Amino acid sequence: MLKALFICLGVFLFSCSDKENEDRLVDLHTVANQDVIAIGFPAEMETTVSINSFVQIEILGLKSNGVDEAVITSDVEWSLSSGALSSIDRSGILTTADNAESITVIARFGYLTESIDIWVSAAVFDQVVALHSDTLIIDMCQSQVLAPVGRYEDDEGGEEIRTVDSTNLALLTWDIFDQEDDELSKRAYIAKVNNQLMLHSLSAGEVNVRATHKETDVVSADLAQTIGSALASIKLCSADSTDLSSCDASSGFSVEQDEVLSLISVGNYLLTDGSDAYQNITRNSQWGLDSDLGDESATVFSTDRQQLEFTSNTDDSTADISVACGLIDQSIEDEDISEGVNLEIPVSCDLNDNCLIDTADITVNPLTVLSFDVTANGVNLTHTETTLFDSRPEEITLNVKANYSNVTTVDVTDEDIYTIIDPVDGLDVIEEKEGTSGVFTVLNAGIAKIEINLLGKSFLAVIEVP
Amino acid sequence: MSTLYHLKLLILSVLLLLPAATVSADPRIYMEFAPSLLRINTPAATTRPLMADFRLGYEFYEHQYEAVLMTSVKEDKLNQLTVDVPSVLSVLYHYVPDRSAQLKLHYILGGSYIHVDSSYPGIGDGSDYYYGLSYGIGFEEAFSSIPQLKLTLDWIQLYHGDRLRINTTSLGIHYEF
Repeated sequence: MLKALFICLGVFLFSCSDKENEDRLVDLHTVANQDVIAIGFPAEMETTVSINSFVQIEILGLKSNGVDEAVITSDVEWSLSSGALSSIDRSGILTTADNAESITVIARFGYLTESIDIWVSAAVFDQVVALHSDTLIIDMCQSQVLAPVGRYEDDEGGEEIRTVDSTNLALLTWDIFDQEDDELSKRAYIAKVNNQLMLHSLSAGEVNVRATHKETDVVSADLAQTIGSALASIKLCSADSTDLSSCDASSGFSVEQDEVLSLISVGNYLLTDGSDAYQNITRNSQWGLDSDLGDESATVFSTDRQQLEFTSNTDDSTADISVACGLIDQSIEDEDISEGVNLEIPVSCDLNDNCLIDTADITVNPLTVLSFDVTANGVNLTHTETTLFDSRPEEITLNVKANYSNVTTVDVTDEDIYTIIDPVDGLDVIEEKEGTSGVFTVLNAGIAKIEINLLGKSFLAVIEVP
Repeated sequence: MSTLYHLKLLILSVLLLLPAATVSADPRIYMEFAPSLLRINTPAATTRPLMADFRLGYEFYEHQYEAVLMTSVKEDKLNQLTVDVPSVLSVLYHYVPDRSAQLKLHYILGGSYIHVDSSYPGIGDGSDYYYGLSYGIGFEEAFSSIPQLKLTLDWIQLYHGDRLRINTTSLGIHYEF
C-alpha cells in the first residue's frame, strides 16, 4: 500500500515539467493587473524615424470599461522583426541603426500582441516647415501643444515631410517675432517640457516663429501664426472655486497673516457658436501687486503655474492684486515672459486695445490666538479653575505663552494683557508690581483673579493664596 | 540533465526507502482540517483564493504521510480577472526531526495537482492544471489538556514553475486517532 503511494508520488515528481501551461494564467494576471482588455499604438505615432536616433515607443491599453485608455508602463515585452539592425530595450526605447531599414516593432502585453511597421529613414533633418501637423488655433492667454513638422532630405535629393523626431526637436531653439515690425515678440513664447513643445500666448496679434537648429544653424522660414482675440473677459477667482463661470472677486479676498491665499485668473472665451467657455488662464496671465506691505508680502506662481499664491507676514493691511491678459502698459522682460509675468507693481490696460483686466483687494487679518499656556510661579494654570498655593508667596509671577492659528507659540508675558479682577468683598489679594509685566505683589490671603486678554482671546487665572 | 532533475531523483529515492525503514513503529492515523490561503504569484500580480484544507495521514515516529484535498471556499478577483481553485490534491511527506520538542518543526515534501479556473473579459472561462514537486515547512503544537489534538501551521510551495508560483498557508487542527 505504502509502496503504491510513493510510486504515485514519484509519478508526480517526475512529471512536473508543467511549465508550458503557465503562460495563460501568467498572461491573465499581467493584463488584469492593469485592467486592460486591448492594446494599440497611439494614432499619432510616427511611422518614419531617422537613423541614429532614439525613439520612445509607447503602447496604449484599453481599460475594461471599454472607454479609458492609458499608456502601459510595465510588463510590456518589446521586440523587433528578425534581421532588424535597430534595437529596442525593455522600456520601449527604439535605437535606430545607422542604415535605412524597414522594421516591425512588436509589443506583447500578457496575451495581447500588437505590431507596427516603421521605416528607419536615412534622410537627414533640414528644417522645420510647419508649427503643427494641423492648423494651430490659439487665443490670447492660452497654451497649445506643438508637434512641428520638418523637412528631411536624403543623399539622392528626395525629401520627406514628417513630424520632427525627438532627437532633432531637442536641438531646436525657437524665436517669435511680431509680424508688423519683426521685433522679438512678447505676445507668446515656446517652452519645452519633457521634450514636449508648448506654445503659450500672452496677447493677440500676428507673429512669425523661427526655429534654428543648434548643430546646422539652419533657420526655418517664417512660420506665421495668429493669436486670436476671442477673450471676452477676465476675472480673479479663488483657486478653490469649482464653478469657473460663477466665481468672482467682487467682495475681495481676506487672508490671515502668514496664510497662503491661492488665486486663479479665469478667461471667458466666446466660441464660434456664441457660447462661453471659461478657462483657467493663470499661467499666461500677467499679474501685478500693489501693496502697502512692502517686502512683507509676495505673490509666487505655484509649481504648475495653475495658481498664484499670495502671502503676507504683516497684519492689518491691504493689498491690491491685478491680473491682465493682453498687451499691458507696463514693460516686461523676456524672463518675465518665460517664468510667468508677476510684477511688484499693478498691471494696467489703459493704453492698449485687446487687453482685459480685473483687480481685487486683499485684506490681511491678524493671527488669531487659539489658546494660552499659563504658569504662576511655575505652576500650570487652567482657564477659570482655582489653583491653590501651598504657602503664601510674596509675589506671583505669571508666564504666558499664546498659541496662534499659524501653529506658532509666542511668549507674550511682557505684553500689556493683564487685568486684576478685584474681589467682590474683602481686601485686595494682589496688586501689579510697578515697572513689571506679569508680576504681582501678594497683599492678603484670598482668591486672586487675573484676566489675560490678547487679540480677543481671554484666559482667567484664578489663584487661591493661603 | 538539470540540477533540479537530479534533486528530484534524490528526493524520490529517499522517499521510497523511508517507509521500509520505519513502517513497523507506533503507527497512528490522523486527520486535519485547516482554512488555507492560496497565493498564485506571477511576475505582475498575485491572486489569493481561500481554500478549505482536509488531510488524512499516517504517522510513525518522525514520519508522516498524508493525502491532502483542498477545495475552494472563496474565489479571488484582480480587477476583472476571477480566479478560483476548485481543487488541490497533494500527497505529502512530513519529517519531524525532534518529536520531543514542545513546538515541533516539520519539513514537508511531496507532489501536488492543482486545478485553477479563471475568467476574463474577451477571453472567457478557462481551466489550467498544474502538477509538480511541492515542499514546505510546518509547525505543530499539542494542546496540553488533549494530547491527541494539535494546532498546526504549514507553508507549502505547491507548485514552483518558471514564472508561476502557487503556495498555501494553512492554520489547522490536527487530531490523532
